[in-house]
Amino acid sequence: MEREVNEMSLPEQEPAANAQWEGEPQGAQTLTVEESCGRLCQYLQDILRDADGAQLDVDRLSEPCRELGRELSAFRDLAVELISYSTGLSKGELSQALPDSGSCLYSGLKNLHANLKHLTWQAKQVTKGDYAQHVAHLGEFSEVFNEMTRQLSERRIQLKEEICRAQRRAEIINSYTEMLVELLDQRDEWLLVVDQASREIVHCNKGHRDGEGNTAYCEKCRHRLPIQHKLLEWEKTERYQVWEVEEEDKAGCYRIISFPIEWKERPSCVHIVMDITAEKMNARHLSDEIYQDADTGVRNRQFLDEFMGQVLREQQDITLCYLDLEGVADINTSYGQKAGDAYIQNFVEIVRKNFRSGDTFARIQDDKFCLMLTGNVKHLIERKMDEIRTVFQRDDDRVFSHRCNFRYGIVEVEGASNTLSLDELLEQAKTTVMRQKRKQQREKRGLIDFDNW
Amino acid sequence: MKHNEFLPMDENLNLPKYIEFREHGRENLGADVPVEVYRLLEYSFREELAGRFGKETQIEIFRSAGYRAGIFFAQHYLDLTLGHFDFIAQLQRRLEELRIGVLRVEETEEDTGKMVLTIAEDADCSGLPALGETVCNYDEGFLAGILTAYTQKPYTAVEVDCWATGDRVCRFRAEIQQTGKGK
Repeated sequence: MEREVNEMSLPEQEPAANAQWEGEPQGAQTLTVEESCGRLCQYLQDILRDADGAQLDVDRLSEPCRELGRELSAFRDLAVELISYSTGLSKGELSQALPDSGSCLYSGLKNLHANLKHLTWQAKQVTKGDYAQHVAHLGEFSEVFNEMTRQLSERRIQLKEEICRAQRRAEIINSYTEMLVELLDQRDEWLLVVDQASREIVHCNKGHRDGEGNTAYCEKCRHRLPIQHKLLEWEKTERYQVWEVEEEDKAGCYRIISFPIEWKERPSCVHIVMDITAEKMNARHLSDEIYQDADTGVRNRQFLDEFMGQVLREQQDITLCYLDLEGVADINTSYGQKAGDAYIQNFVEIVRKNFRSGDTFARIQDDKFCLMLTGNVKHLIERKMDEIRTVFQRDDDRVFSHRCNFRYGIVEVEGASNTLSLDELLEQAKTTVMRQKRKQQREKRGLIDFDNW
Repeated sequence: MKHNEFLPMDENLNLPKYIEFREHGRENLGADVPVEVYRLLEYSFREELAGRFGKETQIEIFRSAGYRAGIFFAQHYLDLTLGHFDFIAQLQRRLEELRIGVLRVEETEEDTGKMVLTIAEDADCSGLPALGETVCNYDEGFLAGILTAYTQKPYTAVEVDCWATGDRVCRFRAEIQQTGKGK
């Protein structure tokens, strides 16, 4: 098709003359000057139409035309090279060698070649983020390219600023989050996040901070909730639910606020769990007298069981003082039960006066009492007990005609490491009291005190 | 040189000191001269030096002079603290502002420091007829001096294509010389 166009654009050939040259055998007769000129014109047309296929036998030309023939042959070679070079460039073959010729026919293409190589390098630089380069003297292309790099540079600056702002925001959010997590970790409430699909605890404010979200650590956790399974079973029936759950043995009671959230891109539920056992217990105490000792007005054994149950569960530090009031049976026998009751009441009043209303004082058996103070305060209790004994014995003969006395045993409970139950703790305190009694009896009989050996 | 009684004789007058005077005394004609005047100077020197000392020595003198000028140019006209590509962009701008030529980069090898640079519309040779040999020996030294001053590594620059060899840009291969002085 291209050839047809070329043919149409060129002067019409003379088919007879052309046929004559193409068909002529080698070594044919030398052409006349006129014929040579015609042959050279035809050769030039052939070069312009199809340089690669153009042929000329210079030796057949007449002598005056041979020099021109040779120059046209050189021109044909140049045209072939030019076609090859420009075709290569049009295909993007920038690594091809520049033609050696210094002909002006190459100048534009060589310039184009150099510019394309430079632009290739420029484009590479842009991909590396180097927007400092500038394209000059390439007309509209320079303007567009330079505008592009200017805009890219501007956007990079904007993006960097945006990144800085985002980083600052992220840092602020992180610090707030850390503070929030810290605050939540220190809260008494449990804050559990449960994955809705897998029903696994994926976060717990009392769990190991570095632990991955799974229930394994919950099994060993000292804060493990006895009602955990109920939380895992919770079905989202409404957007926000406040509900209460009691432990199966009714030892503890919890108020739970539950609501759905998205945690780490997964649908989850948050359960905020508050231990309201004490609250419930207090409420019951206000309306119910089952926790009071009817004779003395102090707490009774049932209260002590429930109170200590909670204390031990929460692993609080506490000091337990077991008190054994002496002489009750003798007074009852000698002076009647009323006198015995008064004796007990007197003892209770003295003890109560020496401790704060917040301290727990309970009667656990007829003449056995228990005092519980928050923290490890053995020395304080010992000092108080001395004071109590002094007051208690001040006018014992006048009032009761009997030696007033009591014995006590103190046990300090470290919540975190304690493994003993209330009964075991009381037993430990009792042992101290029993040892004191044995010691006194031996001293009376003049025997050696083996307990202190 | 004939002694001038009215001027103190400065035996140490060197390139920076000569350049200091560049804006003096041209209030009306300004700082620029036509390219043909520049070439008249350059090629007359070339001819004279080649005639006196031979072509090789003439080329060597041109390279050395270009290197000296390149060092001076880098130290006085360029910010040598810029990063590599910012420095190239700056060099392009300065060469264009001073109408020395249009510098373009065709290739760079960051690991070896090799570069292929072209200068279009070069003041030394643009428009010359094909002479069959490269003629921009001064530019070779000039580029080598600039790159040496910037990188603190001895650069050489060799012209591989030139207007005088039939090309339309001057193309230079620049690389770090393994040993010896960078010119």
